[in-house]
Amino acid sequence: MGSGSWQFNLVLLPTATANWRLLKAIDEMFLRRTVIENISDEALVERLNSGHHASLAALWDRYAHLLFGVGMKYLKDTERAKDMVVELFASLPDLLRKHEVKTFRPWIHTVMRNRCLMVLRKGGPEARVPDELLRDHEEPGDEAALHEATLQRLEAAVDKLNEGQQECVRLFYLERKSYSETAERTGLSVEQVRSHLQNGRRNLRLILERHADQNR
Amino acid sequence: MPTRIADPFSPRGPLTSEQIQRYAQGEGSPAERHEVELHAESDPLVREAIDGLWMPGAPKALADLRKHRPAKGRASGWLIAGGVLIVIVGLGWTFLRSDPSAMDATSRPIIGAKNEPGRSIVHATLPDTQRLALKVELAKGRALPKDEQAGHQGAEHFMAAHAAAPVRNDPEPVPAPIASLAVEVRPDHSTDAPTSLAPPRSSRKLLFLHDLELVDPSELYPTDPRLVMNEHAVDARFADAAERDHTTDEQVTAGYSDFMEQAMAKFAQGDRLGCLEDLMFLLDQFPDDVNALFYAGLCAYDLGSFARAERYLDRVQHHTIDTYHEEAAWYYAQCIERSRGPVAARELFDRIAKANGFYAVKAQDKLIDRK
Repeated sequence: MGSGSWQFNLVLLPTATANWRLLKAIDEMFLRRTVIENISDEALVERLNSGHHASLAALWDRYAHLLFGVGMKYLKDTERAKDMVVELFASLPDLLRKHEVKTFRPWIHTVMRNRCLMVLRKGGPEARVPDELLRDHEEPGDEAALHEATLQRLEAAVDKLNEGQQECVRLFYLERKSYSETAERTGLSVEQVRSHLQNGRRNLRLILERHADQNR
Repeated sequence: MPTRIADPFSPRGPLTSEQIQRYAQGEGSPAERHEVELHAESDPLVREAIDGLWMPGAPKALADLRKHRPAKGRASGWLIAGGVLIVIVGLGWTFLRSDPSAMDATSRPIIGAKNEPGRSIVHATLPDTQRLALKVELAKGRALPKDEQAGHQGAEHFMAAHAAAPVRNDPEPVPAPIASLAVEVRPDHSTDAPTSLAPPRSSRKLLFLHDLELVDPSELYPTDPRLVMNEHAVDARFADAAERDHTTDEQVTAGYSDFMEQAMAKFAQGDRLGCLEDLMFLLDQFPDDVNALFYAGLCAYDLGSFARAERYLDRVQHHTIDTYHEEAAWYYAQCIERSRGPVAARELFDRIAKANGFYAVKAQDKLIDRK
């Protein structure tokens, strides 16, 4: 092949590559092989802010079902909970442009909860919002002490919990029983089990942290 | 000595909407339900969500909610028509005017050159039973420390920069590192390079993805094959399998090269388990695929699953496609050494040393160490 031909093909390279890319794009458009990358929520937000609308669908895939559950918990009405999720996602691009969101997950949870509470309060003076829905939600915080505990240290810490918490923590975390299995074994209701688990987990963390501080 | 236990507070993996939906409908084994509940205990959003999803009517309404999923934005018909026209003209121009051999080298897609936004990513998922069996198998072994893993033991024949390896003969000129490139490797004896005593490497066309060498798919299949993803996998465009089945009857497939690009990205990033799962998925459909067998063998080796690694690598070292024979023999010998001891591996290392190939020096070192 002469050098002229070589140069000619070099000129064609961008054309061929562009053709390939365009073919791929068209393939995706026609076959609906839409793209989602394994990227963080925050990166999706950034992309959404720069006009990449597919990111909104990706966030929907990650959160719509969870937010619907939150809506159901507060509003106890399937249609209103659905509307709330759809409205939230419709306004999401604007909201994200106005607010600097550092961590998307707790932020979207708070927005959904606040919107639900607002709807409940609009129900009029007689529409009292139940106290348990107004309680501040505890974020898990730094749980390194829990995750790094040795078996012996964990057992010792569990022994320091009250009886109900001890029983539930052992069954749920150490024996990997589900809520309902734990409830069956303890004779408690599922709600009581969940309450013991939440308090037990928090107390365990505090005990383990205290122990770590003492050993420093 | 204090006993470390697997962290009982952490869920085993991310929570999918499918898991949540099954949970809300009261489905799933106690173990599956426990997994969702572990998420609920550590994540206030999941906790509140399952409170709500337990309510009457919620699971059905959740399925309806999918109809409202935002569109991803599609190009208009005119844009598509324009694109098609440009492609036809461009391709016609290219095919009519260019030299056919040069066309092959220049116009083929450069796969994996970078992670372009807009790449189609389809997530492969092994069947639950296979996945569980793999987890149990891996739990019995112990992953190798990073510096003992494949690709971290000095130069490697299957990596793009292998020409810099300490072969005992006069080395060939060292090429610039290759990021991702389709290349034709000619037999050693056909070049003007100093003659090597090592057995000639095959003249298969190679493909480099993330600096890892693969046999070009055109050497293995008449056309780039497609993997059927419907069986166990959920294309990323769907929230879950239920939505996928509800929305479409079409068979979801992924191109072999794209699929391998993903798997090799995982390998290059050190995600051996992710890569192994992808390759096992591929091997279910293409059981004799030498690329998948070889890299699955390396992953299994690094993860400490030597029996699995031996199975894969033994097939590779006797495969009709001989591209990886040397590498497979070397890692097979190391598997035997680790699983059955140095005496059992001695003959294998001896054979590698005598073959005077790429791993001969390393094999001799092994033999000297054992004396």
